[in-house]
Amino acid sequence: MQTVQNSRLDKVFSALADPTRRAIIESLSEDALPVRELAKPFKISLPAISRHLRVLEWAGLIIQQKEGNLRRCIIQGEVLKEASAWLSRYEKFWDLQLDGLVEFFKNKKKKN
Amino acid sequence: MAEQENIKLELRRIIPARREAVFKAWTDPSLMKQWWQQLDVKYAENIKLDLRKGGKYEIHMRTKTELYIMQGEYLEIVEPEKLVFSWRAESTYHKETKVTVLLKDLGTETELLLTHEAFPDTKSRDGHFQGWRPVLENLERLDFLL
Repeated sequence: MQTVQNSRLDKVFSALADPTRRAIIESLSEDALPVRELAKPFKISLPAISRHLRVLEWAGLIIQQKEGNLRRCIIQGEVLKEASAWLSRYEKFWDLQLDGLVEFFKNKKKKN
Repeated sequence: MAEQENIKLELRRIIPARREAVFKAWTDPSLMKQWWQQLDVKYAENIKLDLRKGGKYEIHMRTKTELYIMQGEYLEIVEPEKLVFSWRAESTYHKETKVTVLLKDLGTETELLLTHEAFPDTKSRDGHFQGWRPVLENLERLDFLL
């Protein structure tokens, strides 16, 4: 069953599965930036950056706002949080399981 | 998207037991239910492990109000050093993910490396989780923006 949340998360993860796009998100998490400004640190063309931005927009991670002849990119924090929630939830889950495993052997040693 | 990378998390732990014993703890249901836990509410109540390549496993965990079911298939079994299995649960939106448990022999102790990968079907390469970290670290600051 393909839930709405599931397909949204698929898009987010596939959009973030690229180092340039992750770097863009990182820059944007500090401040909303015009496209030209955003492109500066990357050694790729403006059209290439625009393509990456379209993927990020498709995933719902950013929105692009027109201000005169400038396009500003703004990060959509909620969507990013949903994706990170998956990772942090499982990190906690496995952490707990491995704690259980360590305790299990510690208790066993005490008994012996 | 030509450059597919893998979203994954890794945990490393030193387990105070010999490698063979640690492997057994992961593969023998009667041992597994003694350490597998969920939020300290209750230990796993129903563990079925068909330990062979392609064999299925299922783990039931119950909290006060809910029943969680985890299931999947064994993809690779190398006793006593490696266990790879697929993982489906409500928390993965019933989507296939992949868990790898690697055990390194340290004599009386064992180093355990657990990897949980979100997308087993994309081409996976090593070490890409680092690139994801800074983004997560920025999330706390994002709170101020929201």
